[in-house]
Amino acid sequence: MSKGIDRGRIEMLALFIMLIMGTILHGSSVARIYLPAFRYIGALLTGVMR
Amino acid sequence: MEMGCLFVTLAIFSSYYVLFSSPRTESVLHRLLSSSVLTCAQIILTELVLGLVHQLYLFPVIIVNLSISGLVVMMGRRSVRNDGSPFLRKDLLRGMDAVRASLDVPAAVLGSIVLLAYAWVLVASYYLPPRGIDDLAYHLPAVFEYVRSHEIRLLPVTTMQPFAYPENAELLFLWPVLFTHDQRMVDGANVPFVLLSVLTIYALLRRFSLSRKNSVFAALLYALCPVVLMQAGVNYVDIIVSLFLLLSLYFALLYHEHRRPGDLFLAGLTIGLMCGMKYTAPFLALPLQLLILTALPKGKWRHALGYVSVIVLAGGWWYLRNAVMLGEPLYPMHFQSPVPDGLVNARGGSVLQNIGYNLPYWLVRYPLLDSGVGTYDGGFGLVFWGMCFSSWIYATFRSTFTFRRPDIPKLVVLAYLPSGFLLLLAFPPRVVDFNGRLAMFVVAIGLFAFGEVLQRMANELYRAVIKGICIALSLITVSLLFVSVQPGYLFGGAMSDRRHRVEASEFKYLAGSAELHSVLRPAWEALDLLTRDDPAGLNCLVASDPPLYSPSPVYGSRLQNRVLNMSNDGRGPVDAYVCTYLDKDRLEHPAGASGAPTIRDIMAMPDYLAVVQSEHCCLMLRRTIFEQPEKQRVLRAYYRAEWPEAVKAAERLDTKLDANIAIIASGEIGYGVRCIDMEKKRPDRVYVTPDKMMEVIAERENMRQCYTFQRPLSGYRSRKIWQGVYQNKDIEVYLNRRS
Repeated sequence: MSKGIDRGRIEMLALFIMLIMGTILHGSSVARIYLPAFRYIGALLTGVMR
Repeated sequence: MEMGCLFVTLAIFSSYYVLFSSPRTESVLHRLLSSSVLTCAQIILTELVLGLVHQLYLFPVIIVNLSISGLVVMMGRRSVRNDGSPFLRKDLLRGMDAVRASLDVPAAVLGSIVLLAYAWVLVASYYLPPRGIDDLAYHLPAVFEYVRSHEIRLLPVTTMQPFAYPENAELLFLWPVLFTHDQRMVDGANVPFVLLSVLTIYALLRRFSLSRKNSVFAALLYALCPVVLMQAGVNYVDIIVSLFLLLSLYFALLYHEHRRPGDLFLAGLTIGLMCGMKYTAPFLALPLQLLILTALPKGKWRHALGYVSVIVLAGGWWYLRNAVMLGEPLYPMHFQSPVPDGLVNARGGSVLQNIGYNLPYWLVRYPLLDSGVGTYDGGFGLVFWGMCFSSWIYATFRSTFTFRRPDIPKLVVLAYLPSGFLLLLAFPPRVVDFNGRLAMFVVAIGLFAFGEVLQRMANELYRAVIKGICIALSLITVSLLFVSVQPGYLFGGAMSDRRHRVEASEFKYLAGSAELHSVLRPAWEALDLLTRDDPAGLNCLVASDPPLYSPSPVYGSRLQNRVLNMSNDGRGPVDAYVCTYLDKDRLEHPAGASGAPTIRDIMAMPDYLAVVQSEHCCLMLRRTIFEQPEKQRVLRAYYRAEWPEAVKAAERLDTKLDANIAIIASGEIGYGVRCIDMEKKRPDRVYVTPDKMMEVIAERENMRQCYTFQRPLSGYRSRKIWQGVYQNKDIEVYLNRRS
C-alpha cells in the first residue's frame, strides 16, 4: 500500500518537474521574442512616472 | 444598426435555445453549444441562399431569419418541458451555480486577464481599420463585394485565386457588415468565436469528468494563446475553423457515447460547416469519423445517409460551384501534384517529401523557437510548449499503456495533436515557419491533456504553483499586444485624434501596421477622405503588382466605393485609379489585366490627376472630380494635416514662382504648392508624379516651360532659381524651358 502511495507521489513529482523544466527550456529559448514588449512597457511606465 | 444585428442574432439563438429546452437535452452547456451551432448554420445558409438569388439585402435577410426563428419557437414549444417550470430561470440559476463552482482564485484571475485582453482587442477594432494581410487581399473584399452587390458569386479568380476558396466563415463576418455597412469593428468579428471556443473546450474537458475548476482554467488559457490573441483582431478564418473542429469532436463524442440521432445531426452540421470554410477541413474531419462510424447502428442506413446529406448541405456548395465553373472542386489547390518551392528539389516536393524535409527541423527547433509568435501566423505560446506539450506526452503514454476500450474517445481527441503537426509538416518548407495558425486546434488538444494532468495532480501546492506559472506566462503573452504589428493593437493615436476632433480616415492608422499596408496607406487614406461623406462613392480600379493586390480598403471605410476589378468584366467608367507597385521605376502590367493599360500608362493619362503618390502607391483621380469644390476642401485640409512642413516651404517659395507656370513635382513640396494654390483659388498647375515620369508628363502636356524640384528636366534648358532647406535636406528649384 505504502509502495503504491510512494509511486503516485513520485509520478506527481516527476510530472511537476517535467512541466517546470519544459517551461524553462522553452521560455529561455524564446525570451528574446518577448523582450521588446517588456522594453515597451518599461518605457511606457517610465513615461507615466515622469 | 449594431443593436439590430445583436437583436436578430439573439432572436435566432433564443429560438434554438427554446427548441433544445426539452427535458431530454442533457445540460445548459449542451443547449448553449447546440444553439450556437444552429445560429451560425442559419446565418450562413440564409445568406448563401439569398445571395445566390441576388437578394442579399438587409430587409429580406431579417424577415427570412426572424420567420425561421418563429417557426423554430413554435416547434420548440411543443417539446418544451411540460412541468410548467420556467426553464430559462432554472437554466440561469444552474449556470450561475456552475460559474460559482468553477471560479477559484486562479480561474478568476485568468478570467480577468481574458476580459481585459479581449476588451483591448475590441477597442482596437473600433479605432483601427481592418489590418490582416489576407483580410485585405481576399477575405474582406469578398464580404464587401457581396454586401455592395447584394449577390454571392464567384469573384474574378484571374486576379486573386483565393476568391475560389470556400467562404462559410466569411459569411459569418458578412453578418454584422450587412447591418452596419461599415468597416468599423469588422476586425472584432472573431472575438465571439474565441469565447465560444473557450466554452467548447470547457465542455470537452467536462465530458472526460475533469473538475469544473481545472476545466475552466485550462479552457481560459486557450484565449490567451498568442496565435489566438493575435488572430482575434483580424478576419483570418482559422479561429472559426478550429472552433468548428472542436465542436465536431464534442458532438461526435456525444454520439459515440449516447447514440442519439440529434448528436449525429449536429456532428454532421458542424463538420459540413467546417468543410465549407477551408480546404484543409475535410482532412481534419477524418480522424473523428472513427467515433461516428463505430457508433452508427448496423442496418440503419437512414442515419448514415442523413449524416452525409447534412455535411453536403452545410458545406458542399463551394466545391460544387468550383467543379462546375472552374472544373476543379478544390481550385486552385492541387494536393496530388508537387508544390514548387525550390527547397526539396527544383520541381518541388510531394506531401511526403515535404514531411521528410521538414521533420528534422521541426523536431530539433520548432518546440524551442515557436515560429510566428507575436503575429497572426503562428505562435502556440509559452503555456503550450512549456506545459501542454509535455502534458500531452504524459497523457498519451498513460492512456496507451493502460489502454481499455472505453479510452478510444480520449485517444481520438489526443490524436489530433500529431494530426495537426502532420498538417503543418505537409506544407512546403518555405512556409513552414509561418503557418502554425492552420493547426491552431492543437493548442486546445494540448490544453485538454494539461487539464487531465491538473486533475491527476493531487498535491494542492504543485497545482497552485503550476497555475501561478500559467497566469504569469499568460500575462507575458498579453504583453505582445504592445509590440505586435501583425496586427497592430495600439490605438492611442486614433483616440487622441478623436479627442481633438481631427477629421481622419481610419486608414491613417495603418501607418504603424505591417509594412505592406503602411506603404500603401497614403492612397487608401486619401481616397477614403475624398469619398467617405459621399454616399454615391466613386468607381475605382485597382492597378497593382500581384503581391500588393489588396482591394478591401478601396471600398472605403463606409463601403461607399465600387471596385471595378471585382465585377465580372472589370469594366466601367473609372473615377479613380489606385495604383500599387513594388518598384516605382518598373510600372508594368497590373494583376490579372493582360491587355489592360500598364500602371505607367495609367499614370500618364491626361484626364486624371495624381492626388497622392509615394514609393509604392499612387491615387489618380478624374480631373472633373478633383475640381469639385468639396473635394478641393477635403484635399486642402489633408495636405495641410499630412505635410505641414511642405506647406510652410511652399509658402516661403510662393513669391519666387510665377503662378502661370506649371510645376512637375515628384516629392512632397508638390503637395505644399498645390495646397497654397488651392487656398489662393488658382487653377491647378501641379503635376504630382514619380521621378521617372516627369519627362513623360512634360511631353504629354506639351509644356514650353515648367518648374521642377531637385533635378532639371532632361531635353529642356534649365536654370536653378532657388535653393533652400526642407526637412534638413537641400532643395533646389529649376525653371525648365524648351530648347
